[in-house]
Amino acid sequence: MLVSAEEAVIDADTALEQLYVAHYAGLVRLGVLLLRDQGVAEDVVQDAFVAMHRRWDRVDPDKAPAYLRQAVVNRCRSALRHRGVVARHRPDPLPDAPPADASVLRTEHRTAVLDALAALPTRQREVLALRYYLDLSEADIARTLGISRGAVKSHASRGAAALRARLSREEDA
Amino acid sequence: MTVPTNPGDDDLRQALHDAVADVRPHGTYDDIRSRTTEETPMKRWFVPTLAVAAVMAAVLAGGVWLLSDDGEKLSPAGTPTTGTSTGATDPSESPGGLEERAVPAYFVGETAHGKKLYREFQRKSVCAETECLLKAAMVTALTGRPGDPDYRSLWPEGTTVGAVSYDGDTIVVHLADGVQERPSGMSAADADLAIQQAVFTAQAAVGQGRVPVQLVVEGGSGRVLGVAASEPFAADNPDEVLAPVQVDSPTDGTTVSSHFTVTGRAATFEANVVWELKQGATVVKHGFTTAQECCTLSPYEFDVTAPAGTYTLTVHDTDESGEDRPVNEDTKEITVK
Repeated sequence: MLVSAEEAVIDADTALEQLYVAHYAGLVRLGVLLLRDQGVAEDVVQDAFVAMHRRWDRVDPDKAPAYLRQAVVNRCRSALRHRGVVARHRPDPLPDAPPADASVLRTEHRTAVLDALAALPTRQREVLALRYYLDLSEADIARTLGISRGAVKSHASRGAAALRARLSREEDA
Repeated sequence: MTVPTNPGDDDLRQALHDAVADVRPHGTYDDIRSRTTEETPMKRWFVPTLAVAAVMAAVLAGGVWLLSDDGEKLSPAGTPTTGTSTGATDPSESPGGLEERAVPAYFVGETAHGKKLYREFQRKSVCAETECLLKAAMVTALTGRPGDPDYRSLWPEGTTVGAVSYDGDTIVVHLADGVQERPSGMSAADADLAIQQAVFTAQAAVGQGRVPVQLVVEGGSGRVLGVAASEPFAADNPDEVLAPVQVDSPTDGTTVSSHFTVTGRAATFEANVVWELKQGATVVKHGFTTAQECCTLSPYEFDVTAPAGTYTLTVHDTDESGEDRPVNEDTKEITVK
């Protein structure tokens, strides 16, 4: 029993390293799309890894990437709420939340995409990021967000329309 | 199944990929590693073989400790009965090799989302082997009585637990003849939930994670409560089958000291857990805490200080819909001495 528990600890460490190599950068980028802030995105993704390690004995290894993805989306949502009401009522450039890393927003167009995403309702932003950045299926998006596939469809179509509208306004300006 | 790819979507796909293409994530594997290794000493202390020693040590030290399903975390179960167990006669060791242990059993209770499973710990004298705890847990869940009057077992009257075993891969639980078929009056959904009650209880008792559980009814029809049972059962998704707010300790009907700790598990919006200590309709104390993780069942705990008296402790989640929906809760009748 003791031996198997020791093995479980080793397994969690090995698994964590492999998952880190495979998914860390992608999940941070997903976090940037959801949060528009690289520093917070890095914190969120690291927290998700640590939490997964802690409960590794209850995670199906095959589902670990999905588990991480879901944890990152949930934690990004919490982080946004913590950032608070101020930001929510000021959808334009966030003067009090400068990008944590200037390299994130190197070009104006990239800034514009992140700004446009940031201005969308949370669910629409999440659905768009999972669909167009991670290329998840409708069913996987529904599972990740804990919503119905019908809701995924409607958030996707509304979100896509709103994002396109904002981006074309940007180009016209 | 994939998202029907609309070629017109390529602009958005391109835009999102471009937007983060030059993000160079900071943070290394070592950052994460250093945070997990900080927690390792705790984890190692809580490995299963040490759990028994920990329970005994805690009993000797005068507290009751509870072992969670995953064998990963022991949580103090209130300070209440402290002292009573540190006498000349130590109940943790008796001549027959019995120990007083917290036996986990899952029962069914109502939630805002229908019937779900709640975990309850009952203190029983059992021998030290895994099978002893497994048998005690199965007997408690399937044929015993929950301490909390809000809970019940879905298993029919007369269910009898026979031999149990765990070989490192599969838990096997034998049941006496009589529960092959679903009794009239039991819905198919209830039969499924009854089986999950057995599965979660067996897994909690063995403490080796979500191992498969083979239920064998003597008489050989290969069915249990009308459900095909030739293959071992797996646990359903805990976030769907377990009650979203549960109190592990104090248990219903216990007496606690004026300063006590409440522990449990919750899967709530933003991990918010709200509690009230009431006498009748009067709220004497109230507060809130957060579970360790959001949106999936994870541990919470909080401390309460209250004057002597009899109370109802209610722990619940919050309604975020704005539609005045009912909340999920667990209530315990307790006495503060």
